[in-house]
Amino acid sequence: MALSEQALDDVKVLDASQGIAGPFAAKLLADYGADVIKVEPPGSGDCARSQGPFPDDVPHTEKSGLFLYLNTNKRGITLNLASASGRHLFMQLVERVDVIIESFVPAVLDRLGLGYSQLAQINPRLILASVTPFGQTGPYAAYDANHLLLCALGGWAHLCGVPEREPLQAGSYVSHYIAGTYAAIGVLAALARRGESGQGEHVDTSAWEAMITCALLPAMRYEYTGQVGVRQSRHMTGPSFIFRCKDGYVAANVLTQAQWLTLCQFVGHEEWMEDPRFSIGTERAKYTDEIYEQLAPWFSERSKDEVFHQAQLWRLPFALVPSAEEIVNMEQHQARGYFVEVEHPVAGTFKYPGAPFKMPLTPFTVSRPAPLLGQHNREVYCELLGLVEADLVRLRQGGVI
Amino acid sequence: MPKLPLEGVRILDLSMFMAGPMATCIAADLGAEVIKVESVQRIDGWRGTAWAPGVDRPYERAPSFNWINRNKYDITLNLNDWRGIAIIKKLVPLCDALVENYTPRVMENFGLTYDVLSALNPRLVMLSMPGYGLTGPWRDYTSFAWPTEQMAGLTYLTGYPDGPPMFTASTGGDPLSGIMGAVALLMALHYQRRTGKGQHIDLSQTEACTNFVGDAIMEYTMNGRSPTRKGNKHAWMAPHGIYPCLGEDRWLAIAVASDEQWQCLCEIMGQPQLASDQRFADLPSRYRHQDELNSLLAAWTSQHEARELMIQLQAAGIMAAPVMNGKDLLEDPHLQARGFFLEQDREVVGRKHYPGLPIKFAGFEALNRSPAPLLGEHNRHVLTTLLGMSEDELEELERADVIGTVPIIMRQQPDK
Repeated sequence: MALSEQALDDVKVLDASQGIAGPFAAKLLADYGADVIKVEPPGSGDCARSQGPFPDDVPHTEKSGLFLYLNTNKRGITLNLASASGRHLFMQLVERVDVIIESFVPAVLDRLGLGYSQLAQINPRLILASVTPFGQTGPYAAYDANHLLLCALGGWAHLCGVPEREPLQAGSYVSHYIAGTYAAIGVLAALARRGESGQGEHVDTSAWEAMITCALLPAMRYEYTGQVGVRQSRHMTGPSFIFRCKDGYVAANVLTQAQWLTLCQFVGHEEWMEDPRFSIGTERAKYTDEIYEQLAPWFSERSKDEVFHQAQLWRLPFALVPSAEEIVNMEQHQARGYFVEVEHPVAGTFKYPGAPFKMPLTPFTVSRPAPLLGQHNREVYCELLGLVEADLVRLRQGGVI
Repeated sequence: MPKLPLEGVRILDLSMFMAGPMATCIAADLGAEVIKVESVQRIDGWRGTAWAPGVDRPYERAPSFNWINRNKYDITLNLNDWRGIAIIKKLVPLCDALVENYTPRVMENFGLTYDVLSALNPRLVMLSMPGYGLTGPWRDYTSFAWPTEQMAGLTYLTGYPDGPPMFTASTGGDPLSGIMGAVALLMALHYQRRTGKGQHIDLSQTEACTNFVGDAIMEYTMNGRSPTRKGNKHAWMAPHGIYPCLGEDRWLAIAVASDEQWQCLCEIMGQPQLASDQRFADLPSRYRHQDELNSLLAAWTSQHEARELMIQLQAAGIMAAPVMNGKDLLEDPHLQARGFFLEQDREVVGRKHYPGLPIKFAGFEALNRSPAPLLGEHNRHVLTTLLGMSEDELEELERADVIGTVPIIMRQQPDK
């Protein structure tokens, strides 16, 4: 065999989702071997196509860095689900796949006649994975939320930032990636169960709930202590700080008592080891500002790399605070070949984040870049569904594809 | 009861703290039999302190531990004792997967490398989740939740636009790596079911988390620019921010994505003249004048309750949500309607609510069999039923502190 096997090369997926969460779930499956067909509305396509970054800041349907990253290894077709002909074609695809991933506002698919119960009649083994901000049920199901709101709802923002200013969202669109990862878990769980039962499944992932599981235990803090906490992004318990060095930032993280004692020696404050004010973590937490003030000059005289590597020799979990540029050039990433270069016929060749985990027997591969809008219409509609070229012309003229 | 997806799958879980245990928590929710391994010499760090003056069993009181170890079995094994290692080697052939999140040198020092373990069980899926991966110059560098969010770039991107990088003040890279670990585990089990083959997964937590900042990476690789901190700003939406409301430290997040939503918001604010204000006439103008917009919005929101505004604005199709704390979450009617929080009655701490799995399945309910186990709670169960050990053997292991139910450090305290 020329190519190695992949973990999911027996799984067929329709990715009818847009944005980040659903496409990221489908990308995870595709990057590890699933045959994923992305279904986009004709014309503008997935909304991620209109979001940057774009090379040289020139917006272009085929050049969105966000879209390109999230849609590797997928084939792409266009299909207008608002038309009866579009829905008819969709149903023919439904018969041939194991999984559909979607991110429509709940009830939209039902209204189109494409709800789980209707799809299951065509394909009882089908796994429909829905990923939405609030889930399919409950009083807020029809509400909408983006990353900012998910940080607010998920118990992140109320602790992020400083007490004297407004709460903050976390960087990047991390909430959507979290939701997408959970959606992939849901699909894989349903596939595992279907293997024995033959039963299809409707998987309902809530991005809000997903965020709560990744927050700093806000619900349990209240449940156990009656406290709700205050914004604390300057430093975390341990204590852990971010210091400015000569040439940028370094994070001085301490988690355990042993690490605290090592830190005292590392920065030449051996007297703190015996200081009763700093004897245990909860006591130290009262003096974090003072510890910070005393340590800041030591860091400001050194370079971040020097501090990071030296601290690691002492087995202290210090870290750099890298920018995107520093991440791409990071020695460890280069040694492990983390970034992958992907050639796209229109956008060009760029490095993308690579495998989130390495599976030696069934490796992550990028065998095709993100699809052009409708790139695989002929391949899918003619070869898979048996339409002829003339049908494609009619469908195009009818605004279906 | 309908069958669960991972029923019949047994996982030996040597992981500690949060990343590994979160992956195995998800597996346990899905029906896997997870056997967690700690030791009386070294309890899971997520249990917090093993001893505190005047506190009964503080290591059974940590909300962090009690949350993500539900549905698991717990055994203690001193892995610095040959008898502990021998028991691991007897358990491995009976398991489908093994999960660990040490730095690579630790499993090597125990002699528990994949080579050794796969010789005992060729079907074994081994998931290793070190901070920096199993290879490369930094492989033995130490890491945990904050370092992984920092190394992945999340920290650099979090903060006020005029300020330094900040902690996200979440549990950092741990849960992100944990859920990615669950994906890896499920994929490898899928392949194992098909082919009978095991493999050793190398999950670098730093790499896994870097996948969560893809757009920032692409900005650099496409344009040579590194995105920086932008506070609550969005790439193009405005207004887009978090605004003060009635009450102490109460806030509302609002995101306006279109002209229609903006006009609608002006109506609701009772300030229709803003809709025709040239400063805010279109998206680019609003984006340029967003500081003024933010002041106008804050003046309005500060006279209202966050929750009421959410309902009003969402009904009008405008994204709005309160900044919620733990109390808000536990009392929220939507989360209650969905049964998100699980109530569990656990020895030492009593009845508490814990976040459940954020995935609902139409065909079955995720497992809610038992709360997080006490230290060594299932020593007898696992060693007798799985390995057929006798009471005499158990007693001997206990005398030698290979197994036990009380951290060694407790014995050394004066009040014990």
